[in-house]
Amino acid sequence: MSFAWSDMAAAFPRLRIWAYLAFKQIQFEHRRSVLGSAWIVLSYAITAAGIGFLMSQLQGRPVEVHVPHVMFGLAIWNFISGATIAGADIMVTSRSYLLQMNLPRSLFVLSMLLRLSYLLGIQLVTAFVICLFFGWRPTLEIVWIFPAFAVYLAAGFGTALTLGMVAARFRDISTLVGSCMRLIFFFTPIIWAVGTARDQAEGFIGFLVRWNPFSYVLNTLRDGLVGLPPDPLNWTVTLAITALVLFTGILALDRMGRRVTYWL
Amino acid sequence: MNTSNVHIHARDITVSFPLRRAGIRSTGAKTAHKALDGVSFELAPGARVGLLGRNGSGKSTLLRTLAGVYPVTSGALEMEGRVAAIFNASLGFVQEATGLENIYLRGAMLGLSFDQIRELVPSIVEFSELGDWIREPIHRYSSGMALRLAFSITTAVRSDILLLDEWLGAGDAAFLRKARARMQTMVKDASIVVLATHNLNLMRNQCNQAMVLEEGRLVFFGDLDTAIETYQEFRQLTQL
Repeated sequence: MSFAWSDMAAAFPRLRIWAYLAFKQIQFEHRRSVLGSAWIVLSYAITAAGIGFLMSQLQGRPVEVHVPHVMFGLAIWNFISGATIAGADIMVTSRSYLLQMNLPRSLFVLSMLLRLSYLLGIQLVTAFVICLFFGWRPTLEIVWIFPAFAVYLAAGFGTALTLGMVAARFRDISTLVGSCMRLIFFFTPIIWAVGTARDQAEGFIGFLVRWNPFSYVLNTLRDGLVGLPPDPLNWTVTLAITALVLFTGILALDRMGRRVTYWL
Repeated sequence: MNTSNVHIHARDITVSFPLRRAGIRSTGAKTAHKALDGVSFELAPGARVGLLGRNGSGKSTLLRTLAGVYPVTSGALEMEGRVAAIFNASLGFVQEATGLENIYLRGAMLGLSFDQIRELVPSIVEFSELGDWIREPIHRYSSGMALRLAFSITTAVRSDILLLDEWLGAGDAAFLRKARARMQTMVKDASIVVLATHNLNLMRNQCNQAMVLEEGRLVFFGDLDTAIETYQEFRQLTQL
């Protein structure tokens, strides 16, 4: 494991400049438009609130319950799918840097996670404001979002390293990951809901809710925002997945990290 | 870094890239391409090495291996000293970012820390002669202005071992003179320089020894005149 550890140890001292770059990257994307970075807030606010309201009417659920469910769900999903999809591409998109210098591989993963964290923060604050308007009120359970987010960072780090290394060698992986994530979006209770008790769900939907690992991971963070107490099963599944991807990620970094430039 | 410790010692280094084959079944065809094949040499402080070779002979691969980008597949590479590499001066700026932001972007790419870059900013801005333009986004720059900035950033770094892929030329005649002077100081400050170029005059001016690569093998390492002769022989072989 020596390569993996030295790679990660070399990444952290450089983190400050790459955190700055990750933040700037968000600005650059919108700079030439009139509204600029405000588009990050606007495009999220319009789609999330719109879908939230539509789905509350379709499912016959009260807006003060369903709009927060969807808005927080979408913000969290953007982080999860972002870490997975951008993670699978991370070594390939960092090509010009990796071929210029001997830079730590994990640095690019950390930088990507920081960019997604900024976006998650912006979107959560936007969701707070809009959901307050729809009648949502924060509860004490909200403190659980902090440990949950820490777990997300660890899980995102492991996932991006695992997929990033493998997808640099086998390029089909990143396309496959993209297609899967689009499908999983619909198969996870992000814009729809089945009620609070897991046991109520039946048939195919029940199967989805019980066996789709993404619903446990998503709910681990969302529960705190929508006023639900931490659910031991959600946390157990999420922590187990995190431990697994961290292990595979560090293993992939150790075995493939040094030679990854050969495949770029 | 104590200059006397700076060295590069390559022993029988080979870099072979895996070849991607269409289809999953093995066809028994060659699965790897040796970009470097059993290259050995020793460089001590004061070495100014010109790297000659036709396109695809392994010049860039050797430079990238010395920069630590490619690990050696076999053999041993032992290096001591701070390495700076300039492979691609025209590497894209972020067009939406200002000149100043691009200094940070590129500084990070060169492996600098936030504080190191901040220290270098005034001298970079001054050398580029961009003035207030530095706060404008790059897409408003003329191509000469962008080139001047690129050159100023990449040459602001000091190091023990300097790896250069082709000499950099930038901007109008006045800036070009200034740029040439700066490159010479940079080369003078570094303890070991490896410069890959097709410009033989430049090599005669800057180097005191040369390597000739041919299909990944080091076919000559020694004085400049013999190296240039060897290189020209190989070049003529392909023209016939």
